Amino acid sequence: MIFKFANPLKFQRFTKQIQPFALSLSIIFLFFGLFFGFFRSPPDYLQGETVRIMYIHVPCAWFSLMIYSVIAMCSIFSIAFKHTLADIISRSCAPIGACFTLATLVTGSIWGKPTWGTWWVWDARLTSELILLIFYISLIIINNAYENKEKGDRYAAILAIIGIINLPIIKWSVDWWSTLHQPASISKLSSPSIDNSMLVPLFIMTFSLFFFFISVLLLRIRGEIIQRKIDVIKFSHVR
Amino acid sequence: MNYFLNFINSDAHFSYVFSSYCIVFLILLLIFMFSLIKTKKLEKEYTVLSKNEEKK
Repeated sequence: MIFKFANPLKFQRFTKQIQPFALSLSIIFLFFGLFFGFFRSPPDYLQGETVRIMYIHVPCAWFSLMIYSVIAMCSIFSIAFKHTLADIISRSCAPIGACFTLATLVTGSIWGKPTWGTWWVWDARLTSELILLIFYISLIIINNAYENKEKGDRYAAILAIIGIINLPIIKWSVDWWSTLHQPASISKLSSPSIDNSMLVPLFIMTFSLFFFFISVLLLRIRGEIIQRKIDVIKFSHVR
Repeated sequence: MNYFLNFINSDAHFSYVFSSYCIVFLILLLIFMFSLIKTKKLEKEYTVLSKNEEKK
């Protein structure tokens, strides 16, 4: 199954069929997420109505980390097996990941003002998330800096692998250091510390953003494969 | 419905929440539109190039 889609051309055909379906699912989940988030979920006893920012901030933060993990895995795969599709996925993921990280920082900052009384503090969670954005921007710059795409992909893969160090720092920074940011409310090892009325919209919004990510990723992968086909045609003309 | 009405009437908090959602949707809409336009442009360019190749 995996090897069937490892061929970029077969994968391109697959993306064209799946992309509209993923976008539709994203919109459906978004509708339900907003409904449950604004009509069915109560305000928090401490934070009041601002807790509703959580339904968009937390999924964005999760995806900022998840997308970087995808890039890192593709980079390892690319360096080990020199597979074009891994480079294409990695290259397509970087701008989407940057957008999710920017959204996390902006919504976190807006949430911080009424909760902490400040837009920004240089605490471990916020600073490490900002470093993640810098890694994403660096990856985009390196990917586009070289005329030879293979060279750009290789340097970007090395940088992406270096950046893996930042992921556990972001995840556990709230446990390792004393920060303004609250510790994780949802953990694999224990039951969530938030009520189901808040958990439901949070997960529905997460599904919505997941399908949105898949939709944009498939769109960008298709574009990247076509770009490479165009480069081959142009290169054959130059020769 | 009461939750939503209370939210609408929560002066300062409403603006924080509303602006958060607007900014995120704007960022996501921009990345989607940018990706869509770029891909459509490349598809057109590729169609023209491959037709020219066939003529040769």
